[in-house]
Amino acid sequence: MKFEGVGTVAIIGAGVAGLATAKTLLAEGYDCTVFERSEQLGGVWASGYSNFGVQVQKELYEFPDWPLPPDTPNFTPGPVFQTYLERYCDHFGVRHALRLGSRVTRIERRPDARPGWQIRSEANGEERTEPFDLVVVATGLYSETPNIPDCPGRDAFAGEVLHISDLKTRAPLAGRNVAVIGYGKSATDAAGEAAAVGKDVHLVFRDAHWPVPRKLAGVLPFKWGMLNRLTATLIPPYMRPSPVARWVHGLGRPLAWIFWRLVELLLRVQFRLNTRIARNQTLLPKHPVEIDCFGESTMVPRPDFVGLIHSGRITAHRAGIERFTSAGLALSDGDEIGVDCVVFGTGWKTSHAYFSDEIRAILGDDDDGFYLYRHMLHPDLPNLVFIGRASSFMSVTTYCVQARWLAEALAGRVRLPDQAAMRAEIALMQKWKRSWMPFSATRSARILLHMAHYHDELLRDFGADPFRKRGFFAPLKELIAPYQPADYRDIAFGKLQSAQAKHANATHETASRDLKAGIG
Amino acid sequence: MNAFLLTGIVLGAAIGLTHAIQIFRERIASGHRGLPSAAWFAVWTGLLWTVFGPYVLAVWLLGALGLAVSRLRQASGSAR
Repeated sequence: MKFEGVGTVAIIGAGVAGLATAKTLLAEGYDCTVFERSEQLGGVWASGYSNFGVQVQKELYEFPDWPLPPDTPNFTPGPVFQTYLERYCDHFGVRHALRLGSRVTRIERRPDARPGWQIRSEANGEERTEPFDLVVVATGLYSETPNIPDCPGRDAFAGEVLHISDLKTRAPLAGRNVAVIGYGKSATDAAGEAAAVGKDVHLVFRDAHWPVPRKLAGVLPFKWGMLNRLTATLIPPYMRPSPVARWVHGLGRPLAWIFWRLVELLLRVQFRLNTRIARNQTLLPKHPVEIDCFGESTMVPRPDFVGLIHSGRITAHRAGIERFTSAGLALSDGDEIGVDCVVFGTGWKTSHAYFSDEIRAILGDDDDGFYLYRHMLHPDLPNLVFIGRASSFMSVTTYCVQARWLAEALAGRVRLPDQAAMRAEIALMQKWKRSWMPFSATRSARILLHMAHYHDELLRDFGADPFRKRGFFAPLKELIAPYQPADYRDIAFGKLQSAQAKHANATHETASRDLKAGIG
Repeated sequence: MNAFLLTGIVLGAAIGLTHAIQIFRERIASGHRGLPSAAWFAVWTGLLWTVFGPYVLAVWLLGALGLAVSRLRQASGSAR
């Protein structure tokens, strides 16, 4: 598989992934158009719920080639990050490529049978149809449709039912008895907001998950314990584990086992997970931390979250919703709670409404989402690329590395396998993930702590050095220092290194040899 | 104690040497930053395994004990 004759590129979504892709491809000379349904760039950062923000330390969530200003508050507040995106856009000259307020309504094959896709879009009631040589879907994992579980009796409920996306301010929660449903970041944030202004606050969730503290033991930023190569070796091994990882998870298994039990002990103490909640339950998760942290609800809660439960300000219920009653909710554990406002912090649905039936049929309808080669390409959808459909702890960096990979692939410096090999690779990933990773509607796109392995894979593809640490102590830093956006600065800038140039030549030579031999 | 330390160091050195060779070959094959960098990575790898060998051995023994107990508890729990 290879990209041919690409000149015009449509990028759908002007969020972090879309902007990083536009910046990278514009610099390479491609004619890019970025479609954004909203009147403002930024995607999820353009309009969030009350008091939303980045959940990881600021140095982990920034463009590698455009650091946040030094005076940015830690755990960057949403509006501050939005301004940062605007400045990124201006600094790298991306703005002229943006088409704000332009909603893509359809992606279908080009009628002229040339490689690429035709895009139908709608802006101010006017519809346009344009062909593009390459389409990059950069709308992220979730659609704009709220995921609200269907609970019986909702019509009988006298109060108000909201989704987290309706909570632009705290006002709807003020003075009310509130139940928040869910245990992810947005649900726990909503519960915190309700605790600030509401009367009685209930948090209802089926399963508890291991929270990630901002600082381990209140001292060490979590990146030091989670985002280094040592920890990356101790998590369930990647698709093709290195010999060391194989050893660690074979004969060395007790080492990984005791490491994670110590992590669990630390989290139990730090977050007081033995706190008794309704029906004498606790906040202790069922699954081991090294498995649970690959689930959908992995989150870094606000520091006061467990304190609010411990103090009784938030009443936690580890139960499902049986039904709505006229005065509140009946829970699966037999409890009934009286509330006049229910907030669903249950996320968004995953769907791409604008795909043609043909694309949908090819992508399939697996419950855990569609799997892609390198989380970007489908072998049967040439010139359609997904960037931003990979969830990691440093999403911005991951998207920038993906964008660089795409630029290198377009330039012929990544040797893409043929369709059969791509399918085999996808099947391997599917089998690997399904063998151990907890089910979620986005399992296909979850990388999380495997981030370092995924970045290594992409970097190797275009001949860059996956070992990013520099200096005298580089080998030691590789082992214990956390990986951060700054480590990928030259990748985002697209600076070719000598080894990469050699790799590029080798790729070209192999490709032309294969072509001559009739393989390519 | 001395015997334990010695065992840890020897085991660490053995694993470290294997790991160092693997790292060295991988770095050389990748063509990044040349022979000195590959050698430097290999030296560090071998050194760290050797120095921390006794600690790794101690943690491994504790882990093996804990893992065995946990498996036994799981087995007795599922038997009930």
